[in-house]
Amino acid sequence: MRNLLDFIVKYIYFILFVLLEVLCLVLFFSANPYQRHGFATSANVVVGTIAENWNGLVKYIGLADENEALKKENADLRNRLESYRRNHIPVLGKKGFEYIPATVISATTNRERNFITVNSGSNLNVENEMGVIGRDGVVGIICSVSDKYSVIMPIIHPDTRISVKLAGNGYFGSLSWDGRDVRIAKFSEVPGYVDVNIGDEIVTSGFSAIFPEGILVGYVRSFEKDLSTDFYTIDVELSTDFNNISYVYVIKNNNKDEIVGTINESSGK
Amino acid sequence: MIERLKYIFYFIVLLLVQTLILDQISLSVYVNAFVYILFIMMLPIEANKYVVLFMGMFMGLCVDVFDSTLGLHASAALVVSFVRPFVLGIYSPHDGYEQNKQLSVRNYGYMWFLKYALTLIVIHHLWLFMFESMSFSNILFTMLKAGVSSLVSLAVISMFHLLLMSRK
Repeated sequence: MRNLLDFIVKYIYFILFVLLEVLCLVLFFSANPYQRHGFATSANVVVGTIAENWNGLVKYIGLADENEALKKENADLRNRLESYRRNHIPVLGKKGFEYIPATVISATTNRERNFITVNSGSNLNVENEMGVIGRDGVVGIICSVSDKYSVIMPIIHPDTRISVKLAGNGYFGSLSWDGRDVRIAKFSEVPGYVDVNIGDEIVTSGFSAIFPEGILVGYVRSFEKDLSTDFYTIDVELSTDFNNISYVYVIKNNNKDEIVGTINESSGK
Repeated sequence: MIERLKYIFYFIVLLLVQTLILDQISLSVYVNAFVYILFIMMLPIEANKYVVLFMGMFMGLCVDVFDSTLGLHASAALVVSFVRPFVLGIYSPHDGYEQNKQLSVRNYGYMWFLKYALTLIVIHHLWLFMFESMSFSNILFTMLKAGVSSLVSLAVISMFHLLLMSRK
């Protein structure tokens, strides 16, 4: 007993360090990637307010380019609205999807675990696990929400998985990111007999209830067939430029409760 | 009291520079500059090492909240705080460190500062990037990233050290 006490006293500095280090590891690994506490992320009201005000000061740099891009997007949306009107295409589902606009106030893009903070939170009905798209396509999934702010886990984060498909033939799989290049993600699980070409469009599959079907994710940049498993690994050039992202839309699926309810029922209750 | 205010000022400035400026710039995945560990480096020589441990971890936790990576920077900052007394020992000048004399370029020279800072930076970056990637399959990529980023961080840290020292 005495020896043990002597040991502890002698190495107390090291023991304290190890205990604190274990605490950090527990904090890091105990977080559910899609359900982070709003206090422990940049959705935190103090951090969010600081970031928002700072962003308000510096966003004038590059405002002209942003205006130009928004103008183009507006024109594009008007055109699509017009063609919908002409063709009377019925909207999927009774209630369909709603788009909640949000402004990016802070973002990291050159890390391995990147996050984007936006200034819309539960006050605008943003919830965890909602999809987020930008002007050019899919951005990521909401992973932390507070009253006024929320945090997006973008495609460029190793824990993010998005269900995607080849637009041409509908073969689907999941999209992930390996931490190397912010412009390129990996699309796996496509069987080897499928016809894949460079430049093919990759879009959301619509299977997950997070994203509507058919939203652009990127294009096939290169592909390789794994001879042992006969599956493709496809490098996808992402359509969203994460280094240049200022406005996004959070997607609220008004049919989600019904879909999830149906799945629960059918999975044997 | 004024001494203490000075360190609170360093803490706030370095935290905000890190999260609002450096974290928002992205040149390449190989270039990640971390200036916040300068706070741990500049804590006074007479500071209790247990206090340094907690202060370092607190700085890391604050960066983590801004970056939504709870535990990651806290863990790396803790390692830097833990090794600080040993690194100071290795680079100790012939007649030792003087109490109440700030750990700065002005007091101990350029070579001393560069060695001291680079050692702590490399330890911090290796730990941080290994922890972040959580695999040894990317080990070459991780080492290269740590190497490039260490040099960038050394430049940024030296610059902010001089800036903070120049104000009286």
